[in-house]
Amino acid sequence: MNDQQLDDNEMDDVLRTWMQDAPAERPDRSRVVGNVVGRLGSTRRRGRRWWPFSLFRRKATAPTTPETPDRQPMSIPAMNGHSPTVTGRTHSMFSPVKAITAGALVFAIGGMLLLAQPFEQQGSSVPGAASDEVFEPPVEVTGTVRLDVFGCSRQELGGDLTTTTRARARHTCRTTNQMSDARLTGAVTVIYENHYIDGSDLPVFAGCDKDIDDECAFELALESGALSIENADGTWRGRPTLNPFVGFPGSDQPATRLMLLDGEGGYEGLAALLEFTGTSPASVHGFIIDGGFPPDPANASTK
Amino acid sequence: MDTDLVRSAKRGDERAFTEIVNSLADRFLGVALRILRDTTLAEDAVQQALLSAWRDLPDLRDPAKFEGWSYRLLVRACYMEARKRKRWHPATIVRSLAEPTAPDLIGGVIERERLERGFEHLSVDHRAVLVLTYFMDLPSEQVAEALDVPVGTVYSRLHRAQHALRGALEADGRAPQVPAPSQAIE
Repeated sequence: MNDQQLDDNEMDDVLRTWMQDAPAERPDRSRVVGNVVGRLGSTRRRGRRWWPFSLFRRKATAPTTPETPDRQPMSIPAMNGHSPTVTGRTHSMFSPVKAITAGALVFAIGGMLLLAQPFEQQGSSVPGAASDEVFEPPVEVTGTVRLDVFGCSRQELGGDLTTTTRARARHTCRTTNQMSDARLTGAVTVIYENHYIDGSDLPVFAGCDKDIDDECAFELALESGALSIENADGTWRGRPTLNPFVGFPGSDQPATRLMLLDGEGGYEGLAALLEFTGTSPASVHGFIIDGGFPPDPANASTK
Repeated sequence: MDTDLVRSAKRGDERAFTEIVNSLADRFLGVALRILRDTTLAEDAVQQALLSAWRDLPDLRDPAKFEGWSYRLLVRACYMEARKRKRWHPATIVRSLAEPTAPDLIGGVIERERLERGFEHLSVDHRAVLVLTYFMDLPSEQVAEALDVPVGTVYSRLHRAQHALRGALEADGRAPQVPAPSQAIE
């Protein structure tokens, strides 16, 4: 039979049968296991990081590959009972990442100090200070929701992912959630769209053959979507959010997605800020906020 | 995977991790061998993946996700081993000079040897998505987790991999046949 005549089902069957066949050559399992187990004791493990960036970590005190002798930090011997004096720079003093992160920290801490002030001390220059409204404090919520593809329908909006290098598709998924606060528990609808650009279609990789050089295996995916939760008392309507993902082989996907939802019906005047981690099930952590989010600047009073 | 075992290993219990290694080794070697098509590279990739798992396990928040996470490490290790070979594809197809025998057909439709040659022409991306789908029988979302790409990318990559394989098979069919020694003498 001509290979061209193999339809998709035949190709599936052929590949499955061939893959399940035992290969002619067999790797040495016991050698692999022995090598791994024998090196556990000498392999330095990572500690859990409470801060995602290595902003304040000195390279000399936190080697990442201690098993390589030539990368070990140089030890400085003590002299006559006194600590040695280190001259010169032992680590980088400046980097743009550090500067930006430090700046963001200063603004964040400054903002928190400002919010922590009693309103009467903040003066009339603070937006919202003149308001008489008093809001309930935020209520923390946790829970889970399944966000996998199996409850989703898919609609091609442009291009065809299977034949073109650029495409857009819409997924509509219906599921349920379990939340610590019954107000946020109900029927969940997620609508999201994917926008794909294959690396071979990007000018920056012109001339790069993806089939030969794995470095060219680049895909760009933009994901935008919204989520709603509906129950007998009302609806939470999510605002569309964007999750860009740039997919180099082996790169990390964004671990969390943040959603803003406005209450309707029985939840009018409330808002929710929810962070989703993972997909099936996603763990949810967030807050119900009395009074909602700040108004759209275009609609806000200028008085 | 037993989550208690993963929790113990996460805390540093080498005996627990040894049990995990023993339970994963066969599957990992099967996946790596089918992606890399080379026993030495496959063994190196599996060793690298398992040692990375031991090193990074304290950072894994949810022990229930260990399996998907460990497949991701394995696929990354396969990419790294593949890069050690600068070029994946031989310039010419090396054909067996052995006496021709009755073709070994898979499913009665295609020769095994021809399929193997075609598969060797695929990129590691394409091999990985085919192996995880057809050998491991993982659903698309788990393949996406292992490859670290969105689910939509799995669909498109799977289709392109099949397309590339068809193309390689077709090119193989058009290539001039190298005569077997007995034929060459004539």
